[in-house]
Amino acid sequence: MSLRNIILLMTLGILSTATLANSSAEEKIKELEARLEALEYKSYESIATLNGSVKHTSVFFNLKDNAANTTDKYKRFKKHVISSKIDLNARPSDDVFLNTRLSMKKFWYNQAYESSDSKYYADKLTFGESRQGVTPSDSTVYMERVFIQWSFVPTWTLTIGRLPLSGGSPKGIMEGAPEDAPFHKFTMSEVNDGASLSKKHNLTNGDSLKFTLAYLPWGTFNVDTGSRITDSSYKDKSTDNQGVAVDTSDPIYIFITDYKTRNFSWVREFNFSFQYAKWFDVFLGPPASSNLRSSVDRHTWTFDLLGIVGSKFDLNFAYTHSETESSGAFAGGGLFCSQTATETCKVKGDAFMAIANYRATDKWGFGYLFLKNSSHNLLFDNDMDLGYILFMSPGGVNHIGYTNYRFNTYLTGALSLTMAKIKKRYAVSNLIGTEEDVDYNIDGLKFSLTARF
Amino acid sequence: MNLRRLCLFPVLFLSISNICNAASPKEAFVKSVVKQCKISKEEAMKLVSPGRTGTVITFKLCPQKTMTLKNGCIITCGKEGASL
Repeated sequence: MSLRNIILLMTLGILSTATLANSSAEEKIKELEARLEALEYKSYESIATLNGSVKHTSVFFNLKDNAANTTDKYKRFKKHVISSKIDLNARPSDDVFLNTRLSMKKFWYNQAYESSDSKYYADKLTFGESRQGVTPSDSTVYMERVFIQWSFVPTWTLTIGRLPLSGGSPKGIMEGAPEDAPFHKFTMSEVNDGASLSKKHNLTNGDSLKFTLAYLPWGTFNVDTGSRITDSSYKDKSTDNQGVAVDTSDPIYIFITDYKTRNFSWVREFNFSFQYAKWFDVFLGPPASSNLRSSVDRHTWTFDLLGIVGSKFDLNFAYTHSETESSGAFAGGGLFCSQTATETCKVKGDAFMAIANYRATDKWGFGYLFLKNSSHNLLFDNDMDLGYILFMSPGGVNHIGYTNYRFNTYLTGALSLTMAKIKKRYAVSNLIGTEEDVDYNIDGLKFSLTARF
Repeated sequence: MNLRRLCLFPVLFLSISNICNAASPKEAFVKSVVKQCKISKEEAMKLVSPGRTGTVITFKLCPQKTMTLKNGCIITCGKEGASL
């Protein structure tokens, strides 16, 4: 019997008692009351919801080194990845929200060597990935997110913990999925711990305006987690390779303004976002071999024009400009420059992204993404969803054609083709250290199948 | 007397406000449809459909960014736990 029926029956019961004053009806009401109370307590128990996704991704790509001799000219890569995310959300009271996300991601492989050959997964046991259960070394569980949100005053929200920062736009557009993070990938796409404060204004005409300030300190690893309090548990700061103390955490601030409206006649929905990120002397690299500190000023503007003139055609634009100042060096340079430990350098860069998206039917969409990135602009996607297909182009351009199809409400397939040109390469993570001019062409194909629940 | 009023009466009587309050997935769906499709609450109620693949739970779980309702209106959902 549904809740509505129970309530209806009770209402009828209540009304009938007024006229009949019948003792059997009163007993019936009491019985219903007891059942409803049991249901009520059951609903208080079930405050948590469990949802998530399982995703398979295959990537095939060819790299053509135009400057190399014929034997090294072509490299081919083929990778299959399985990933899973399990979100446990709870809203124990109206003003408190909790999220915990467990996640895993691995390439398809079974055999790994405890070998010095870095091409193998040297940290795994031989055949370690063929076991049932994890490699029996420790009890590690990967918590991708874990945070508390508290709306201590209506419209004000404080978020603290390991924050939802990876998986932002434009990933969702290409895969027909909702965005998984509040920032555009130009601003930040990595998992960070920190805190944020946001204020949302619901305007009288239905528009919304939101301001967010996030503090995401870049933590450096000189905290001893010893089991008892001794002098060594409270280590002094580490020193870099020039003997200068390294701060345990360097501040990164991000400020966002989001505006959403459905009140324009020429577009179904219009979203605008301005995102400003500022890094203050963030230490990069292991202290024993680095004294690199970088400050970054980044301004990003994004525009979403969804359902233009009543059609199913969407346009998304994003532009970012960054100024990066590095002092010291790691692996032969700073961020996007070659330099020594005593030098400083300042570089500027920008990137532009445009997406034309068409939803041919409610199930099927396709589109085209264009990305142009200058050599010295900081784009870093640590989404680990084979994101290099998107941001592989310092000093180059990237063309991506994509399509996605919804087989049913909870199962989606996505396919994308990439053509990229790369003009620069850097020693560490393609961001830091010695700068090298290259001439690469990359053609790639990516396929994914995602089931959500 | 409509269903909501009928519902309200025993709710007040028995203090079970959590069953009919505005935080229910159905109320959240209806509220969003009213706001995004610019239609009345009565019209929005007609777009409610039950079940795991129905409009209410699909809007709440948000496996897809947009949903096309049977009146042709396209609404955007937000994934819980994906914003600051």
